[in-house]
Amino acid sequence: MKKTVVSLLAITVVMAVSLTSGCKNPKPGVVQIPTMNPRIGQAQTTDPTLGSDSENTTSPISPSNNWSSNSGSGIPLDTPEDPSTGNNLPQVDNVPAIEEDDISPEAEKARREYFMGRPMDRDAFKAYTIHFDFDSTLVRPSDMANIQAIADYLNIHTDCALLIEGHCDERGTEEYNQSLGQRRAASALEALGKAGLNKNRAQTISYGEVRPAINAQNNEAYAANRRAEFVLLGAQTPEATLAE
Amino acid sequence: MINIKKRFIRLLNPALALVLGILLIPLHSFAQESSGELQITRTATMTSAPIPIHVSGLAGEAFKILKFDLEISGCDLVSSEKALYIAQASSDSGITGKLTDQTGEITFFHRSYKNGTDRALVHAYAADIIKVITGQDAIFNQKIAYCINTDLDKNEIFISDFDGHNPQQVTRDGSLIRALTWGPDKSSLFYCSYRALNPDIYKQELYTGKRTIIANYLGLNTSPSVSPDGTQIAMIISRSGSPDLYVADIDGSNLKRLTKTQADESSPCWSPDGKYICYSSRASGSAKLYIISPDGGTPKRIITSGVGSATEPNWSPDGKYIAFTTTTRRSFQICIVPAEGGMVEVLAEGEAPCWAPNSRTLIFHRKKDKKSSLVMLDVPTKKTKTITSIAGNASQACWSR
Repeated sequence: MKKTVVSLLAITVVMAVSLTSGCKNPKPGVVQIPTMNPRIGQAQTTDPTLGSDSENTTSPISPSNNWSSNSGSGIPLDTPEDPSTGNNLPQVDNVPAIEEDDISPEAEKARREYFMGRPMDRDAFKAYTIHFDFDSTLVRPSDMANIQAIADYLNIHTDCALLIEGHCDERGTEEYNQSLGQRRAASALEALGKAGLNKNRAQTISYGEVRPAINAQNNEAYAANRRAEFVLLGAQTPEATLAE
Repeated sequence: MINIKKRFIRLLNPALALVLGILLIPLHSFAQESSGELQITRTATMTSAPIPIHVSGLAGEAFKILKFDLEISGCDLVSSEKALYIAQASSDSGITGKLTDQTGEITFFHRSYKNGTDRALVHAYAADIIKVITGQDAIFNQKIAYCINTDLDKNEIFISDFDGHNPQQVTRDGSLIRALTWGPDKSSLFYCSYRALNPDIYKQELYTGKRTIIANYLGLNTSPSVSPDGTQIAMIISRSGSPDLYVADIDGSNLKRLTKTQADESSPCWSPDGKYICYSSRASGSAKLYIISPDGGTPKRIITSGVGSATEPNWSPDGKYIAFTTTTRRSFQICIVPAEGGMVEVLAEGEAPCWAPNSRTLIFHRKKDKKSSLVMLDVPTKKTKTITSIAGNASQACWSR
C-alpha cells in the first residue's frame, strides 16, 4: 500500500513537471507527423525508363511475353482532396466518434483529420511504456498506473492526442505479429478508455517485430520488445493542417 | 519382348512407390490415434520417390541450370546405369536436347531450342523433360515477387525469375512492406506499406508503376489476398478496434466485415474455387486456422493435429492442401495439412509458405545466422533448394499464378 502511494506521488510529480512543458508550447525540434494521407505525386509515371533513379517511387518493370497488360480501378492517389479542411478543428468534446461497422467516408475523413498536423513527442511518455506476456495481448494490472497517468495527462491537455504503437518479439511470423501488435495497441487503448480517456483521441499502429527495443535474441530482449509505446501528439496547428 | 516388359516395370517404379505410400497412410494414421498422443510426426500425406535421370552433354552454367530445374522438380541426377531417363543435350548453337528411356530405344522428344538467352533455352528444355516425366507444366517460366531487407524496419519489393535470376526492383520507398501478393493477370502486386506512416494496402501496376490505395483506414490495413476470379479482395483491417477479416471489391469498395472477434485475425487466403477464405485467428487463445465463406456466416475450424499454432495459410492451387507456418519457441516450421483438416505433415524449417502453380513446389523464407534466404521445396520428394542467387536478406516470396 505504501508503495502504491509512493508511486502515485512519483507519477504526480512527473505529471507536474510534464505540465510545465505542456503541448500548447511544443518543444523546438519536435518531429511533425506528416499527414496520414499524403499524395505520391511524381511517383506516378508511365515512362519505364524513369523508374530506376527517381526516389521514393515505384519502379515499373518491363513487360515480358507471358504477362498480359491489365488496367485496374481504384482510388488514384493524385485525386484532389476536399480543400475545406483545417479551419474548424474538432474540440475535445467533439472528437469524431467511430461506430463499429458503420463508418461513413465522412466520419473516416473527420477521424483522419483529427490526427493531422500534430507534432510528435516521443519522450513525454517514454517512461510509461507497458509490456506484455509471451503471445498475450492483456494489459498487466501492474501497468494500469501508467495507463491512468497517460489518461489523466490527456484529460488535462485537451488539445493533445495520442499515438499508441504495438510491438512484438521476433518469435512470431511476420503477418501474425502485425496483427498481434495491433491487438496489443488496441488493448492499451481499451485500458485507456476504462481509465477515463475518450478513445477517439488516440490512434493505433502496429510495427510487428521490426522495431525492437533491444535488438538481441534472448529472453530479456524478447520481454522488453513485447510492448506498447505511447507517443504524445501535440496540439494541431492550423498552419500545419492547411499546409497538408 | 522381354526388353519391353523390363522397361515397363522400370518406368512403373515411381508409380509403385506412390501407390505403396498411399496404402501406408491409413495404417500410419491409425497407429497415431490408437497411441492416444498427438505429436509432430512425418506422415506420408504427399510422398513420392525421386525420379532417377542421367544428364549428359551440358557443362558449366547450362548444366547448373538444368540440374537445379530437374532437382527442384523431384528428379535425382544419377549415373546412366541407375537412370530411368536419359537427357542428352548439346549447346553448339542454341541448345539441342533429347530425352530417352534408359536403353535409348524410346525417344520421348528431340528438339532444338533457339532465339533466347542460354538460361531461357535450358529452362525450356528442362520444362519439356518435366512435362514428359510428371505430366505437369513446369514452373520455370514463372516469376516470384519478394522483399529484400535494407534495414531492420525497411525493405523493397523485387521480381525475378523463379530461381532468383534477372531481378528487377519494384519499389524505392525506404519504408516497410508486408504481405506481398500478386494481383489478377500477374500485371499488378498488392501489398501493405508503411510509406504513409500507417500500414495501408496498395495496388501497384507493374508496367506503369501506377499505385492506388485499396485500404487506408485508421489502424491496421494488411494481408491483401485476391480472389481466384480477380473480383474481390480479402484483407485484415482494424477499423473497429481489433484486427478482423474483411472482404471488398477488388478496388477496395463495398467493404464488408466477416469476423467480429475480440482476438486478432491474420493472413487470409482463398480456396481455388473461391468459395472459402482460410485465415489464422487467436479466437481460441492460440493461433489456429479457420475457413469462412466470403459471403459471411460462421467460421469453421480447420483441424491441424500434431502442431500447436498455425499461421500464414496458403491454399494449394489444386485445392487439396493448405500450407502454413507453425511456431515453436525455437523456430518456425513449414507444414501442410489436407484442406479439410487432419494430421499435419511438418516439412522443413522456414516461414511464410506459398504454393507454385504446380501444387507441389513451395517457396518460403528461412532465417539462419541473421541471414534470411528464400528456399524452394518439392513437397512429394522433400527436396529443398536454397536460392543463392539473391544476395540480400529476402523474405515474403510469392509465386505469380
